[in-house]
Amino acid sequence: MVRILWWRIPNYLGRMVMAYAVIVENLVKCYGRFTALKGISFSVNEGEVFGLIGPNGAGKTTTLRIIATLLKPTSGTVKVYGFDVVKDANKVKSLIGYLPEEAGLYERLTGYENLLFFAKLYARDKRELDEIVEYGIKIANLGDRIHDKVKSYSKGMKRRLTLARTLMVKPKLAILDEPTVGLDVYAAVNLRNTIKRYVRETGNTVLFSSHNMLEVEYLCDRVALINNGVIVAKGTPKEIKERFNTSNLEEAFIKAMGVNIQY
Amino acid sequence: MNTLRTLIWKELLDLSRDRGTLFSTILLPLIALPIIGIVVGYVFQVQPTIIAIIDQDNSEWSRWLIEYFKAVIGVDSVPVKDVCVGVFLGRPVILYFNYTSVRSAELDPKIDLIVIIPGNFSKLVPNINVKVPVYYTVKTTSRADIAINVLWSAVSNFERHVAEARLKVLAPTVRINDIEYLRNPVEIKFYKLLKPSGVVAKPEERNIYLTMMVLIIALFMTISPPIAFISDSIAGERERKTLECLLVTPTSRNQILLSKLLSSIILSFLSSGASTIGAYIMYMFVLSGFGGGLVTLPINLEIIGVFSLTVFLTVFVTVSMALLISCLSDSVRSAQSKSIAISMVGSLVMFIGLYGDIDRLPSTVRTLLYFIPYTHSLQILNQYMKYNIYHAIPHILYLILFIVVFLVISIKIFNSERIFFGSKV
Repeated sequence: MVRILWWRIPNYLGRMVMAYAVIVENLVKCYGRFTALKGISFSVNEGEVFGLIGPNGAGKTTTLRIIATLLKPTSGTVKVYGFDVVKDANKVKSLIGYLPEEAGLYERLTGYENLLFFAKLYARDKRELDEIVEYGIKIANLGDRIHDKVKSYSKGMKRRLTLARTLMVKPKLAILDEPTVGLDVYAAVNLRNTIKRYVRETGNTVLFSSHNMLEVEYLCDRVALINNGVIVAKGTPKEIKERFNTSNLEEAFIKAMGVNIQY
Repeated sequence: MNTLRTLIWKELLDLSRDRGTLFSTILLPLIALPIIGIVVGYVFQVQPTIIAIIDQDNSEWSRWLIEYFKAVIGVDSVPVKDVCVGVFLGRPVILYFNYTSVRSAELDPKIDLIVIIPGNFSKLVPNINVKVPVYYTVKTTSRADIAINVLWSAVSNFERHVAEARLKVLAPTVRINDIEYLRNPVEIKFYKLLKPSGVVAKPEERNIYLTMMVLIIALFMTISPPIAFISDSIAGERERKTLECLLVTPTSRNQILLSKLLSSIILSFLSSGASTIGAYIMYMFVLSGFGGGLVTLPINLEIIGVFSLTVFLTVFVTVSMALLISCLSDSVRSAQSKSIAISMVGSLVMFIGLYGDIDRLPSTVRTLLYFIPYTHSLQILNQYMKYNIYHAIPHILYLILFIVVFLVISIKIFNSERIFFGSKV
């Protein structure tokens, strides 16, 4: 018993003093002969909103899927709150919430039933279940429509529900893959505000990917720009703008990607 | 909270709202199979067998023969001029007497059989040294067999009449106690009813082979629902982008897989119950078309128990195979198309079961068939009906082996990255 505790003390102490929510080191991911990630490294501080920015096919979704324990790295390590995503996958899963880029819902179930189903997978007792569902309903903000079948929802409503499903369990790390893609301006603003409010209310960490630089500037404390499986720049939006000598993040992004756009 | 119960709750809630699937897997067999039975029975009943009798002799003896035709189809001997309508083994039969020539009857498409009583018929009947010919022409119709049966029944009855007349002529010359011993020297007596294995069968088990046919049809109807459910459940979750969200929850992948297995088995059992009832009613109606009156097939709790076990194992092996296909398919459509192969193999075994006996096939063919899991499903029923449940144990074990192999491979794939990419990796 004493021996077991002795072994575990440094581990727990390490986690207590640690300020990183995510540490990615030399992450490589190959699909057959294709290398999607070529040894990327970055870290996400606890309680910050971190943006992973890059063009289509840059490796954002692969990175997020690895952090979410869905894919295994070919090499390198990824730790979430000190837990290895491969060795301690179950522990990591209990700490995260993941919203895929094209997250679906059970269309024949109502919005409420969708939330209830996922809440049941996390809750340990009835009281906790009620709390989770209540918070989910609040985030979804669908009013009475929460009791309608999901197939009758608009795209914006569905996205609000999927975000609610992800955040209602108050994950220590919320991983959001392009949460506002394909939404109209109103729905996108609404969703961004929800994410902002969630961070403010819970103090939890958010790691998200996006194409929308306005959104990135609005939400992110720090960002990493990724292209062809390589991190080309990282820092606060301000630092990146200064580094590339641009007035906005969009231009910095274009420069970082090494693309020449004729206007 | 109980994770497995939650996962099954979601699957069943989703399924309960899928009216199309519920209708096609539960209600349709319950409605469609009896309707098929009613239609088939009705078609057999309302399509009369038509026999044209051409009496070229027009004598007292030929009229006697015609009377026997009428008696066989249950028509009284009241003279009817051109036509007689009666019933033979529950099937309507019409006798026509108005054809003046053989050719005219041959050219009439509604005629199934033509009986020709030749001109010298009455002269030959009393002659004890010759056989009396009655000619018949049969057409290639579905009702020809019934017509021939009518002919044989009528002629054999007439034969008794002729034999009796001939024996009466001979009787005074020979010492005979009872001409019945001469006329019918052999008596067929029922001894015992046995199963194919030689075990004594109960009287109510006389038509057990018909029950077996119903069970085979019902068994193989249980193959399709789990295939559809599993295809939609795994490839569908991936296609509808719900799989990733489910896999990042603290639930283990094996629990997710198990919940899908159990849900599909629940659906299949409901479907199987409906198919069995439907097939049972269907056969009752079909047989009523052949035999007249509603026929009840022998069935008891023991048969239901063995059948339920067979359905369970068959569904489980189907689900295991469909799971593997679904894990490796890019879409629901792709999974369902590939799973057609499973249904086709199932149909092949079903037809062998309906129209043959696997035990009587050459050993090489039988060995090949044993590589198909469904052969063992069929053999469980077969061995039970022929012998007892103990003879079915090797086939139960074979099925379990198939299930374990397919499940292990499916679990391996479901736990790998292939589950996200289907066949694209």
